[in-house]
Amino acid sequence: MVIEDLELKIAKILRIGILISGIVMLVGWILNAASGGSSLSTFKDYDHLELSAQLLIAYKNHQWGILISFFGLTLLVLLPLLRVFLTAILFFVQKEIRMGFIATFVFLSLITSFFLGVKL
Amino acid sequence: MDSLIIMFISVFAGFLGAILGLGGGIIVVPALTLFFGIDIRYAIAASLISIIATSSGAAASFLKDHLTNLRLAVVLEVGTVLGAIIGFIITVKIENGPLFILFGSFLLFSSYNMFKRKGDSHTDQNHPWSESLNLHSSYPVNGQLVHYSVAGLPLGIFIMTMAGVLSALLGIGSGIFKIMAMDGVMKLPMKVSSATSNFMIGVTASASAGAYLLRGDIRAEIACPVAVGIIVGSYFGAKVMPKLPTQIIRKCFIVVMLVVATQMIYKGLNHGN
Repeated sequence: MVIEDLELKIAKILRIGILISGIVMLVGWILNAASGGSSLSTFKDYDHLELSAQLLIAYKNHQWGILISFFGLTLLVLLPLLRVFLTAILFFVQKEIRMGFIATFVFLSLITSFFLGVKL
Repeated sequence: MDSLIIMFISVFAGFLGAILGLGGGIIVVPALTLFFGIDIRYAIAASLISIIATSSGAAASFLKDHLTNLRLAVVLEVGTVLGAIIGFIITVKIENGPLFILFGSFLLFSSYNMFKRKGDSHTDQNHPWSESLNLHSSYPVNGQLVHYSVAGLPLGIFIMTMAGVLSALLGIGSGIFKIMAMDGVMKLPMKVSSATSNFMIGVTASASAGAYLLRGDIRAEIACPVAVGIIVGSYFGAKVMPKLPTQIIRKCFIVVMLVVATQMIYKGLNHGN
């Protein structure tokens, strides 16, 4: 089976992942809106608050809508990572070692980029 | 109520984006900042989420048509991901005003690009790196396979890096620049450039979206209605696109983009206020 056909299978898995994350985000959004939620005027001025702090505040205040929303958002952001990871494996399985290393480099760069958000 | 309006605007953005072949970011970011007064950093972060949703959701379609050059996409993603990392680092240090001016300038450029007639490129000459990595391929034209080579790979990777920087800075997919690199520099056929660019956009956006998420700039109250709206809008937009007078819609949209570009630049000159 050529690599494009295998990649098509991965892409179809991604599509299901998008649907699941979309449903989770929708549920989180509805729950948050139903419990009052934050006014958008809160976001007119930038206020740096790390994700970990936001999750802790939401947990302490029983803001389950926010927590579910962030779960859906995290799923969505991780999906392209999954695609690149599986693509790297595909290349190695097909004995395309150089392409496998290039895809692995992209995957590791993505992981590194995530942790920049914590560092900066 | 406000988040419901955001959702409906995002449905419209996804719908229009699917019809015109644009990412939702070009509509979402100005709408969130100019209409709702949301800080541009939150708007950019939310926009990246919507870009991941639409690009990743459509990846299967791009592959099915056998237009996407998967191997080339992986190589070019090295540039776009590194660029996105650089772009995110710059965003953390930059003031709001320059972001508005940059976004407005990007809208002006996009308007010009939409006007320009696009011819088709072709080359039979592989760059040595392309030859070594076996990046040349073929694509279907009227039931037959037409072979193409990949020229100018190093410069193409450099332009991809710049596209990644802009993606992270402005919350856009940078598809225009990716297509420019693939069509103008690497001499790929337009259909291949477009499909490969669309295939890559999700990975590019994910690079900075992950950083924005952990930094706390992706706010669920904004990003969720945006993402849900864009997914719904782009789904219906793709369905009706073949039946709509795209050229007329495109011309109307160019006028709107010019107006919005002026407003964004004006806001930027007033230090983002």
